[in-house]
Amino acid sequence: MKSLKTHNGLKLLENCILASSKKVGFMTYLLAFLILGITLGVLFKNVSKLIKGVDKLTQATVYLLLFFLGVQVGKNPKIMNNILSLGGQSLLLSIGAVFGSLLCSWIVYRFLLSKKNI
Amino acid sequence: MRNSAIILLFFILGVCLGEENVIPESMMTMDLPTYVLYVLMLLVGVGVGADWKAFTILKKHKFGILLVPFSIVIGSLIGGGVVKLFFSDMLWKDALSVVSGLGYYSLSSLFITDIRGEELGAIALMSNIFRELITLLFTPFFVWLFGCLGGIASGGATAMDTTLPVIAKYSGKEWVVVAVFSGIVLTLLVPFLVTFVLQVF
Repeated sequence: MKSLKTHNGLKLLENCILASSKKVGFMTYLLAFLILGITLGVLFKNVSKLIKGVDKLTQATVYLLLFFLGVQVGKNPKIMNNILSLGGQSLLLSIGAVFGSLLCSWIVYRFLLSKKNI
Repeated sequence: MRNSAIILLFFILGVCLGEENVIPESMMTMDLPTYVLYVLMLLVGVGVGADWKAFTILKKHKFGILLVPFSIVIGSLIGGGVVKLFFSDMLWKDALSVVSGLGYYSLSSLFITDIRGEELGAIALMSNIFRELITLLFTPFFVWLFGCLGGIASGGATAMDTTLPVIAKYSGKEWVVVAVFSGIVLTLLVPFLVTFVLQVF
């Protein structure tokens, strides 16, 4: 609790806005690449060899990304030193969050989204 | 399932090499993972563009889509609350702030470390990395059991970037628009949600 005293409400709000706005630049890049990709996909959709290759390459890139995530985890003493003591609790919280989200989104999916042609 | 096993294998390989310090620091500091992510977005985009039904989903569902990120926030908090019941020595606000990270581990752990200290910060970091991993590994199962929103809900804030390819693969290319929308809303929301939860509970 004591560290909370160093923050007042306005300062906290300012931190949040700052953190979110920092992310906007990165997301703009992500969206730009996605849209560029979609454009290329529309243009080359008849080149089925290329599209098949892209699917395989996407898989490979996911593997690479997970390798990097692993390296970051392995290099992070905060994680490696705490995984045995706090890992179980962390995992249970994430499982709870995942299944809570799955159930709530299932309600939206089942009752609130249109079922036409799906 | 084979795909999930390979993903897990690459992750574990990374952890081992990272811990042994085989990978030079310079490789990680020059934002290589970020560039890989950009390439990934481009590739997912090509897949979506080649299979062009992307915006038909918005016409079909209209405003229902807006409820998706909202339901994910509520679901995460409820799920975190249920897990908290099993840990009598854990504070409500601690459990709820960790799940408020919605998979956005770097920022949520930073905020939680700052406000609640190192230990809970480490839990937030691990828990939200687990969320990303769970999504990458089990999305096929989630989609089968809970429908097309499965991967999007499980991925939370990561649905717009790292978990997008598996969502596109198992929910279908037309759900990419929903995933990106939901992921962006949740990503922007994370700092506010974490701070709010820590203040109110």
